[in-house]
Amino acid sequence: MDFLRTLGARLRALFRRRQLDADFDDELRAHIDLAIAGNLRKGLPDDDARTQALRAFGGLTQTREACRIQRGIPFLAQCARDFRFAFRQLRKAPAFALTAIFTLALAIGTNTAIFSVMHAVLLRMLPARDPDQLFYITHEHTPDNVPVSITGDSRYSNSILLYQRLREDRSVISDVIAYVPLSFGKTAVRIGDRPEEIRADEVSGNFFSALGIAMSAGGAFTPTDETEHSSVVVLSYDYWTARFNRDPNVIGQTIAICGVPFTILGVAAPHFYGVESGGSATDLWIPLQNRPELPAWGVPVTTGRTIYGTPSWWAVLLMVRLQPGMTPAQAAAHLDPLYAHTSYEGFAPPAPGGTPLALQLIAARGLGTSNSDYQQPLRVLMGMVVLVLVIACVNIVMLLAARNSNREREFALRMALGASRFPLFRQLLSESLLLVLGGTALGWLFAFEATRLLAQWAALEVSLAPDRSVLAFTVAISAAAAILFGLAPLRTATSVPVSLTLKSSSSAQVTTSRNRALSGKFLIAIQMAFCCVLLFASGLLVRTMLNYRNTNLGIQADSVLAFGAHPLGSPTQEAKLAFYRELLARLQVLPGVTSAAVAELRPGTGWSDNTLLFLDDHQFPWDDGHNLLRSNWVSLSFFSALGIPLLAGRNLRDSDTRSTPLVAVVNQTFAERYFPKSNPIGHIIGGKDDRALIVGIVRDSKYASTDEEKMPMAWYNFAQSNSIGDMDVEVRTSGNPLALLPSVLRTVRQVDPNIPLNKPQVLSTAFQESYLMPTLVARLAIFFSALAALLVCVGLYGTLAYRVSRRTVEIGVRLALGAQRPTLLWMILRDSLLELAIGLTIGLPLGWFTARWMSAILYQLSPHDPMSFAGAAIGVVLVSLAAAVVPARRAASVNPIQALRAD
Amino acid sequence: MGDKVDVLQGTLDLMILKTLEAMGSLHGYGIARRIEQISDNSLSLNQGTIYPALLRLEQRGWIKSTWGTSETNRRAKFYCLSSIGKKKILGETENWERVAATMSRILEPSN
Repeated sequence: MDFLRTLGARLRALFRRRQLDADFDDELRAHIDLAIAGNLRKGLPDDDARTQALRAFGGLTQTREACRIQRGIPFLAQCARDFRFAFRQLRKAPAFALTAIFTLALAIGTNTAIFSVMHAVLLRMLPARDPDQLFYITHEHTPDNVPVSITGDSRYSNSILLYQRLREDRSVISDVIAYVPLSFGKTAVRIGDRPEEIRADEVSGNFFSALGIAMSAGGAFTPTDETEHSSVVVLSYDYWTARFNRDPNVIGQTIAICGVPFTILGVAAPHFYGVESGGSATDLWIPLQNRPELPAWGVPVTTGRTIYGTPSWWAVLLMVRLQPGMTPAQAAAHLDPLYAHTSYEGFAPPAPGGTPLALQLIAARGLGTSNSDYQQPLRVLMGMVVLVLVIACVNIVMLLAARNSNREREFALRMALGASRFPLFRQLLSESLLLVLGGTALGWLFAFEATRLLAQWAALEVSLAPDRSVLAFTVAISAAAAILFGLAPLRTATSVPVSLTLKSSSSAQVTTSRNRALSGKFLIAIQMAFCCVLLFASGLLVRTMLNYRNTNLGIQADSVLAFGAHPLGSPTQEAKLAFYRELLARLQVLPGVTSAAVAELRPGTGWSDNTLLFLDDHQFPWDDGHNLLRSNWVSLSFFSALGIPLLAGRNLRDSDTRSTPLVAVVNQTFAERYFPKSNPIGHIIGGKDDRALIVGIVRDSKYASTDEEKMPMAWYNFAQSNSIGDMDVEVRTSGNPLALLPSVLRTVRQVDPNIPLNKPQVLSTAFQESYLMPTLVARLAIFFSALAALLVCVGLYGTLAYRVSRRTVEIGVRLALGAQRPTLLWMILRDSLLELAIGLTIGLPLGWFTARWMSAILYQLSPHDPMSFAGAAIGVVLVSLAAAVVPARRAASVNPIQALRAD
Repeated sequence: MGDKVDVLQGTLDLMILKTLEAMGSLHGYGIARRIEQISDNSLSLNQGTIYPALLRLEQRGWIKSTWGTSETNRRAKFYCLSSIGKKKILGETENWERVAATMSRILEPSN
């Protein structure tokens, strides 16, 4: 208790120091006065009375000091003093302080930004209850000999049967959640009379309760909502904020989704973006529906597929919550037989020796099932950022070392006067801490902005703002930096022999200590090595991006304007056909338009319809996806619009209608793969329901993405389709496609004034999105290597300038003794050349070695690409040259008399 | 009188407490003078050394202080025992007597 009271008293005294000092002075004065009075009473003369009083008291100053130490917490007071002093010192050297702070800010900021992106993309859990128990259900193989059609993703789309069967097995799973997007992109809604497009999912009734998501307003779905397919909707918090201004009265209002009225039931908690993998945010959720206006994935029911009616249509995405204590491996092993059984339900059992069907459970963290897309690029980026951080730290260490070597005399003097190492260490540490604090604060701001930009570039809609664990990470880096920098100058500052420093002149040294110079050189060589590695990596990544950009797509994507046009309401097939025919006719005659076509799936968007090939009534086996036939429904002008030449046979024709036999045009790959020696024209593809006669062959082209493998493709005439979906319009223009957008819009309005254009873009932009990640990584790599080059250049310049200034006297002496200027220049720059050589010797092999890790994200490029290699070496040499120019010139123009005089 | 002996820190605290117990409220000078008188000046006590001790005791809460006016009309701090201090005196006295008894037993020639 005494200790606590004492501590309390000491803490209180911290804030009242001046007052307490004054009080104590009063007390002492009173004491001395009384003592003098006492002495006077004894009969001593005035002077003696005072002297005696003081002598009896003892030392006034000592007492005051003793009490002051006793009163507060001396350690804190000392620290405060150290910080104030450090601040004043830094203020006197603003260039140094600002350079150090900015370098630190850049290093810490970039590190924090990349780390928070990595955390959000790979590690962040759903804001749900016990998120580590949530897993996506995926599978590698579909059953053999079962006419399964998959929409969505071949690995994650499942059958409604699996959903129902999983719910019956409680031993490993406590909840099963089903979710299906209402379209591949966005769904049309109308609030009041304003139409807009949003992302919507239909979900099982236990969606919010099983995940453990609270509601900000209103209520959540119940299992009854699912069985009754109620017309209720839950909004996301961000959508509620953006569209309704967080108005609590939205509950009960009506939204029309695809023309069907839904009542708003509630609003989800903030920071919940849905369970969709891949970083897109869901705007609203409805219970699983069973009506033709709201088909799953927007696939029209006229294709004959519904979720509940067609168990062999795998279109449902599933997430499960495992029972506590269950591991995903155990659960998967337990569920494999159930999956196998369900896949063959209603069909012939599999032949023995077929591929075993198995489930995989993917943790619901980060971007979920898209994690694997981001993992490798992020790792490469993290590696680069670490290198930049090391370079920056080395810069700062050298900055501090240079600065503190100027204060050697001060330190030597203080040590000669009796200071121990600890106060000096404390002072240096305070300066470093102040720099690190400033750098962290600035870096944190920088990180915010950087993560915002990164999210924008990567087209991630989920929030990437730095969070608490990122803050902890930043603080940890800063603390490590502070200690490192605090120690670095200490060694140099205090291990110098005191006498040597005091003897020598204040600014210049006639000789250079070998040890210290050696470590400095080593650090610079390391910097150059890392810079070399960074330049090499950027070279590889930039060339990859260029390879993507320059891939021959096989279509004239630059001059094609693409947009979706969906007739509203639920028109009949004939109406839809007429709509598109009229639209195409009108677009064809627009000035600037070469030709216009429609296609069911827009090329370049990554979506494709794939089925196992049926050729001449023979179904080909799965064979690891080798026999998938990709297909698209197009108008006959499609190939001319996209610039795909016909190689043999005939194009689709107007005379192909619903009543004439279905025809198909195939691509080169199909012909070469299945008819290497003969002509495919005249053969039949397709099964019972979609037999088509091959009538023509076109040249190969890229279909879904820029880097896809060659695939056999078939195009059908959309006029012959039983279920014309929402078609995408492709317009080939003679000039800039976007310039034609207003007149295209007017034309569409002429046909139907209510239709918006769905995501209009130049077709090449769509393909660019397929290599968005490599573009982003390449851009970041350029930024990091430029940053590293700048840091190395600045650091090298500083070091060289410092060296020259230190050796000015030496140069003057040598000049006076008759040395030639070129020789002196060589002497000064020889060290830099050595550092460059060592840097390259370390850096080039290091780059060679680490490039192998990057091979997964390179495209059509060997990781040992010689051009990038050479580029990196040249880059480092240029950096060194740039840094050396000014100091070299200064060294070459030293005036010996002035140098010798200045001391 | 002999040489003045040095005073241990803990004993000074006890001396101050006993002084205040006997004298009630007193300022620093008064406490120092009283200790000098009682010890017949045999202790080498610099008057200034009681101030850190007074501060320590006040921080522990064993003595309280108030501001008043000294006999020479200056602002001075007057100390007195707190309730905690009054309780502590007994314990501290016992401690001291125990230590003193042990010391005298050790110093006695063994029989």
